[in-house]
Amino acid sequence: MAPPLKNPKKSKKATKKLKKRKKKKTKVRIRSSSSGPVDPTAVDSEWWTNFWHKNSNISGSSIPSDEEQGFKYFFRVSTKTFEYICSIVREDLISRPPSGLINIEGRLLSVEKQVAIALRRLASGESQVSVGAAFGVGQSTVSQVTWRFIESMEDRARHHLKWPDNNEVIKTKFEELFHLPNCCGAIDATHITMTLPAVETSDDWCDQENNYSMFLQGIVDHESRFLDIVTGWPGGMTVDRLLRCSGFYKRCQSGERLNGGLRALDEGVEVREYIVGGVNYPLLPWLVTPGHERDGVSLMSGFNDVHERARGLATKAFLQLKGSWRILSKVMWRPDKRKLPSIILVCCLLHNIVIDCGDHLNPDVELPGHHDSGYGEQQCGQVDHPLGRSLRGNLASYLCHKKVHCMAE
Amino acid sequence: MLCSVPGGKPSSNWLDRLRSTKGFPTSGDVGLDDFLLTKPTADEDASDSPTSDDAAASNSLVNSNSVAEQAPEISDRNGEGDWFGVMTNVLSDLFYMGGPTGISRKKRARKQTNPKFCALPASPALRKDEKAAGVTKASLNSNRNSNIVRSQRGGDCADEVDEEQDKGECRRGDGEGCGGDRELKGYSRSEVTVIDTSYEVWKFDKLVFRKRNIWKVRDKKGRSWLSAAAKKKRKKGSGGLDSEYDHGSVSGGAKKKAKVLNFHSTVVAIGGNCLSPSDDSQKSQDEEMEDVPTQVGVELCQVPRINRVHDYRSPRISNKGNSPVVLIKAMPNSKKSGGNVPKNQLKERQRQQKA
Repeated sequence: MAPPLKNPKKSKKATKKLKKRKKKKTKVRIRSSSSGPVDPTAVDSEWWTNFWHKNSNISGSSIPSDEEQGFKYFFRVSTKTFEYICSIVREDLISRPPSGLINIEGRLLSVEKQVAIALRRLASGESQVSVGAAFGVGQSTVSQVTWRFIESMEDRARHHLKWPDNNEVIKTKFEELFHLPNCCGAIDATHITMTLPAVETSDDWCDQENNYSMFLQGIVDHESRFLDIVTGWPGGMTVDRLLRCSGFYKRCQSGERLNGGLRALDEGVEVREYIVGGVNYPLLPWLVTPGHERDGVSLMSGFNDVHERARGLATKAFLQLKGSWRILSKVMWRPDKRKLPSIILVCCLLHNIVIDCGDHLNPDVELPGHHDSGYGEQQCGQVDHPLGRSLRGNLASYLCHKKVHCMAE
Repeated sequence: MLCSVPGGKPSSNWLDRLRSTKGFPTSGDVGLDDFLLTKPTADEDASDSPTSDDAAASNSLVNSNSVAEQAPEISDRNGEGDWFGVMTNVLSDLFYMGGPTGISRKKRARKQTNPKFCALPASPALRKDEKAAGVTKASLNSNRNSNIVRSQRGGDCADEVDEEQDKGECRRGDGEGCGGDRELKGYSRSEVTVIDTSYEVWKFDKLVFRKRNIWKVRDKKGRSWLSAAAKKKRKKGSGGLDSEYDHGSVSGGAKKKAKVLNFHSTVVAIGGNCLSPSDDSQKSQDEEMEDVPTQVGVELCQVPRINRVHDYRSPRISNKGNSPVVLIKAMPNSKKSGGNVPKNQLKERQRQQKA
C-alpha cells in the first residue's frame, strides 16, 4: 500500500512544477501581448480578441459592430468599469493560484478573463456550458471562476452598497423630482424564481404564484441605486412579513435609521424622514404607502400620482437589475439556496457599480414590463399606523397646496 | 415448528393454535386491534414458548412474559389503556399488516409496500405517552422539511381547514430540528441563508419554521459565516456557482471538516453597538414572526400545497450516508426499534470491549 501513497505526492510535485513553468510562460506571454483592441493598458486583453472574434459574428443576434459597444453588450459594463471591477477582485483571483482554471489550450486564466467569464455568466444567464464554449473553457471552470468572483466581490465591493451617513442629497433630489419633502428612498421587492428538486421542495419557497422563489427587497435612492437590500428569505412569505424580517425594519423601529431632522412644511407642520412603498407594504410612521379614497379622493389622487412616480424608482431599479443580470430573471435550475443570496447580492453590487462609474445602460437592456411579471401586488392586511396616516395626510395636504400655488403662479 | 401445540384441532391453522394456547379467542375474524387490545388472561402456559421465529416475535411484542409484565406498567403509568390501540392504528395506517405476524421482526418489510399518510386523530394520550416515555415520535417519519399530511395535499383550502381542526396532531415536524420543542410540532422547517445589508455582518443563517401563516425564525446553531478559518476551508473546497452538478452534496473533504468544526460555534458574533441579526431574535423570536391577527384571513389560502416526498425515502439521503448526522438519525432510537438488536450480540460486543 505504500507505493500508491507515494506516487500521488510525486505527481503533485510534478504538476506543481508544470504549473510554475506554465505561469512563467504566461507571464512572458502577457508582457509580450501589450496591444489589444479594447484597452491597451489592460494586463491581459488577448482574451477579448479571441472572444470578440469568436462571438461577434453570431447570426441572428443584434450584436453591435463597434467593439466598445459590443463589450458593453456582452458584459453590461464599459471597459473602464470592467478594469475597475478587475482591480477590486484582482488580489483574490491572483492570490489563489488556480489549480484547474485553464482554458482548452492549457493556459492559465488571467484575472481579466476570469472576470469576463463571471460577468458573462451573470449578465446572460446562459448555461455554464454555453458560457464556457464562448470563452473556450469547460463548464466546471465557469462554475469555479464565477463563484470565486462572487466571493471576492462580496468581501471587497460592499462599500458600493451601504446606507448613506448623510441623506441630505437624496432628500433634496427627491424633493426636486417629486416634491416629496424629507423622502429618503423607495422600497420594493421582487421574486427570484427557481426550480427545486422534488426531494427538497418546501412550501416555504413556493410563492403566491406557485413558483419556487427567493425574495429580494431593496431600498433605492433617486438614481435607483440600492441603499439597502435583504435577500434569502423564502418566496412563500408575504412582502410585509419580509419587511418585518429585515434589519432595516428593526433599525427603523428602534430609531436607528430614518431618524434625521424633521422637515418643516407650511402651516407649522413637520414631517419626519420616511421612504415610500407600495400597497403591499404596511403604512408605518416611516413608510408611506398610497392613500385610500376614504381619506379624500381629490387629496389623495394627487398624492398617489407623486407617490407612484417616486416608487417607480425602485421598480426601475429592479427592472434594470434583472435586465442587466439576466441570471436573476431566468428561472434558475436547482440553485444552491445558500449560494443564491450571494449571487443576488453581487448582481446588486454590480448594478450600483455601473451607476457609480457613470455607465449608462443600453435602453434595450432593461426588462420590459414589470420586474415581477405574473405577480399581482397583494394588499397588505395590516392596520394602518396612526402616525403613518398622519404623515401621509400631511404630505398629501402639502402637495395639494403646492399644486394650487404653482397653478396660481 | 409448532410441536408444542397440542393437536386438538387438526383443521385450525397455527395461529389459532397459538391463540388457543395463550387464551385468546380463536375466531378467524378477530382483528389485529381486538387481538392487541385483548388483555392476556393466562400465564400458565408461559413456559410453552413457541420455538418458531414468527411466534417468538409476535410473542415478544404481544404476549410474552416480559411484555405481559411491562404492558400493565405502561398502562398504569400513563393512565391510558388504549395506548396500544392508538399505536396499532398508527402502525396499521403506515404499514400493510396482514396479521399479527406483520409486525414480527423476521417478516417485516424493509420498505413500505403500501405507503399511506398518517391520519391519526387527535389523541392527548399519545402526546402524553410520547413525552413520558421519551418515544422518538418521528423515528420512522423523520422528515426535514415537511409534514406528512401536507405531503398528500394538493392546494385544497378545505383540506387545510380540516387539518386545522385536527390540531396538526399527526403532522410530524422535524424530529431533529424541533427536538423537545413541542411548540414547533407540525411546523415545516427550512434552513435559509440571509443577506441583509442593514446588519454589520451581512450574511447569516436562520431556521424558518412555518405552519400555514405563522412563521417563526430561529438562529441556526453551528454555522458561522464570520469564521475566517472556515471561510478559507470553504473557499478551498468550494464548488461551482450553481449546484447543477453538486447541489446539496458535500463535495470536498475540507468542506466536511469545516461543517463539523463549526457545529458548536456561535452563529454570528457582533461586538459593540452593531445590530446583530440574532440580538432581537433571542429576545422575541416568536413575537416578531407570528402573524398579526388581522392578516389571517388574507393569507389562509394563498400558498398552494404541493406534493412532497419525504427525505428519508429520497436517494439524496444515501448520498449523505457518510455524514455523521445521518448516521445518528438512522440509528434506532426508540425502545422498540432498539430491541431489534439481538441482546446476545450486544453482550458479546461488551465482552470484547472489556477484554
